[in-house]
Amino acid sequence: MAGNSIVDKLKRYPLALLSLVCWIAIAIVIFLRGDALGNLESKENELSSSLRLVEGNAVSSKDLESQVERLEKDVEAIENRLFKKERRAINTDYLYSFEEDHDILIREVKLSEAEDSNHKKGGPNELKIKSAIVYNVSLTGGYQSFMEYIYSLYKSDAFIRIADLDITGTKNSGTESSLQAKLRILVLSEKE
Amino acid sequence: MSKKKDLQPYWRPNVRIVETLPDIKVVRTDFIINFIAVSLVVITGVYLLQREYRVFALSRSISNLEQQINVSNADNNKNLKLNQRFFEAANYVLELQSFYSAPFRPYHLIAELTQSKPEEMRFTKLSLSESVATKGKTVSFNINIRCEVPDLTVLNSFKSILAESTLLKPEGYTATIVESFQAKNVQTGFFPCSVSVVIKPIDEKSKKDKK
Repeated sequence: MAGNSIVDKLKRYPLALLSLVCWIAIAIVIFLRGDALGNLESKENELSSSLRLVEGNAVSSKDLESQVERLEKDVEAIENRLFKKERRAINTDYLYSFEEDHDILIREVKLSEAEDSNHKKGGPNELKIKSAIVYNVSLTGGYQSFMEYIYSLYKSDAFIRIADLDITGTKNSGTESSLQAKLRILVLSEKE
Repeated sequence: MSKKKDLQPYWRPNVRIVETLPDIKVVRTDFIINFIAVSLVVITGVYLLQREYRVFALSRSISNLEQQINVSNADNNKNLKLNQRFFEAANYVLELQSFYSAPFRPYHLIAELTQSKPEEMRFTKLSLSESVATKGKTVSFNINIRCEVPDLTVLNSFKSILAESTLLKPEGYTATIVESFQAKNVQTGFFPCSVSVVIKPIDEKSKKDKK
């Protein structure tokens, strides 16, 4: 009896019934395609940001090729000026060669086995691509010659810097007093 | 009989079949159900159409973007390789900078010290050394000068000169100058003395804390 009355009522509203059927069909379609929109939106966002990145790369890479070529030439020049660790005699001879241009006497050039704490692994200025060879140099000479010598160390082809220095003045019988100096110098070299 | 009539005067049998009677309400309400149902379908349908249109538009936009990315991919790969080469080469130069990282060159320092010292002062020993602090990974520079002065005011004026020197106070560093002296050497008439300068990088953390 109750079923009949519902059917009767539905028969009274055919348009509402048709609408209900359509609404259910639409709801099913919306439900089934629910993820599609979200997926497409996220894919579009992803592609948009990729495209922005690609465009940004293109803008930033303007003249990059010529810059890289210039920089690589500089790197090649740096490589050619590095000390090679295995050429110990040549390296030491190079450090003695400064004697020729300056009025100084290099008494000793000694290769130190100790690593420089500034540039070693974990140091404040750690060298990752290259390494530093440590030499202890002792010499004597006049003040002017000594100043020219340490200046020429910095201006030489090899990359040299003075880490520690110790200068003691000694009085000569002549007019100019002489200096005795002990230097701890670092030379940039190829990594082993 | 008359008493019964009085009790139920207006009662009549109801023989109407309600379903078959016409709707005689003054304001008809049946259409509201249809209206609501149709409205719901229309609203949901429009929503669905809108979604489908957005899906269509997004699909078109995605295929456009993919096409654009594909076109620029070759150039982008080339740019990325160039970029990698640039960074590799730049690291070489940066490492060189790191090797020479010191606030001054020794020849500048020696020249500054010898030129700025008072004439009456004599240097007997000069040393410069680097020291690495494991905590905070910093490098400090220690300068030690052993000297002789005929008068202690000369030592004091040298200390003042050093305190004013810009070379001993490079940017990002702080310098501490300490002087000391011994009793006058009666043979030479000079006071043996020493000046110690410690140049340390400013601790960024403590600098911030002070602010």
